[in-house]
Amino acid sequence: MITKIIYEQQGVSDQEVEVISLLFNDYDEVAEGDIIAEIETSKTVVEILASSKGLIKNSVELNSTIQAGDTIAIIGDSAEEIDGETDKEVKLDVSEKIEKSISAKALKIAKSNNLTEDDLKKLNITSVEELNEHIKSDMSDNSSSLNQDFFAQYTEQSSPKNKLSEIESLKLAQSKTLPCTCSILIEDFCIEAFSKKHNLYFNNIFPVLASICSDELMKYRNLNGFFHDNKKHIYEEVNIGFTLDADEYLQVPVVHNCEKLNSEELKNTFIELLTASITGKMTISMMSKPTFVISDLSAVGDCFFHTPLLAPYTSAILGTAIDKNTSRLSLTLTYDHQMSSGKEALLFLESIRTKLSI
Amino acid sequence: MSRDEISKIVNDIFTGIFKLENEVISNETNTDDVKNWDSLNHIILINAIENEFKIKFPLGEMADLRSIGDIIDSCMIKLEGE
Repeated sequence: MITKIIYEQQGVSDQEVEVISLLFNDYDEVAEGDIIAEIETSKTVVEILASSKGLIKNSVELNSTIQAGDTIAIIGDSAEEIDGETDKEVKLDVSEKIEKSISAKALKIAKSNNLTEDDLKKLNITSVEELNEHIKSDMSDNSSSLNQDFFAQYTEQSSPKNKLSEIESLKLAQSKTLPCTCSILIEDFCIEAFSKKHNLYFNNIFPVLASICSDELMKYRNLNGFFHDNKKHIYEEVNIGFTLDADEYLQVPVVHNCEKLNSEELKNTFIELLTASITGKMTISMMSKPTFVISDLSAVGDCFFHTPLLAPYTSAILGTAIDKNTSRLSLTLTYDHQMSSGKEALLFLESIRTKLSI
Repeated sequence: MSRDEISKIVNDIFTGIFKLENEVISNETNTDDVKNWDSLNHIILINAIENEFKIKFPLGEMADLRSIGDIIDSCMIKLEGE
């Protein structure tokens, strides 16, 4: 009797998975329950078991990518029967799959947090999601001795001794921001008159804002950095990114060293970056290392920008929008409260308002 | 190339990009008259014209082209200079 071992999708993002090991050669004998292969899903490694005994023939290659519904192997009573490929699909029952106790990715993250495999076993953690949940809950729960141990190690390891260049993205992703938002309005703002006065490109006020912000960021330096390892990191240069909808996804091209550019140079660099995006010539370096971001909806439509979201490695983002019905320009700043006080953020906004109104 | 020839090509590119069918396009048609003639579509338009005529608009000049007439005039100057 022929038995086909079929790959069944493990999760919504696991339509395609990779075969990372095949444990039997073609025509080897297998017993029911033997592990015949391992596949790597987005979350974990899954062992595939033989659902019957007999001779096995692999239908996939090692390190190949397979899709849900693909046959991983065929088991039959004889080589002739297997080669004859008599079909009888036996779908793998979920209960017949045994996940490895802990995924490789979770182990890697745990290690970087000084958690051992035994710690994870004690906590019954097998996946990255569970581990992240645990780390989150740890933040608010100091009752468990394991948590206390974990925190002791974490604090010790996270003391501000690392250089900026040594910060790993993984650790940064685990660092917390405390985003706060404040807004300020400019009444009686006529974009057409403003555009004419500053010779704007299609009413895009980004170059003017970037010029003003780069001056102000040299004063309000906490808004031009990021918080990590219980320490403020301040950038020397001012690289201002701007948000751009390109083919239905978001790009953040960056105008580097804004503090050294005049208004005309800022405008030309802005147009250059727009052109690069539209003509498909955007490079990684054009989108790298923003130290501050401006999200400008003023040329898009009538609205109020409520909550811009902080980009990684930054401590502030300025959102701006115009409501033409009320002739109001809104400036909304989201900032990391570990870096800046509310007063500092408001003074920054107030300075921008004053300079825009001149 | 005559102004009429340039004008026809520019109008064809323009109506194609902005998907205009029955609208009347003239030299006076400007960025305020066409709904989607915004900063991004302007770059698409200028890029298409540059490719068609094998010419190049400097950034500052590109930003100042605000009407069909401006674009045709600029193309004329560049093509005559070749």
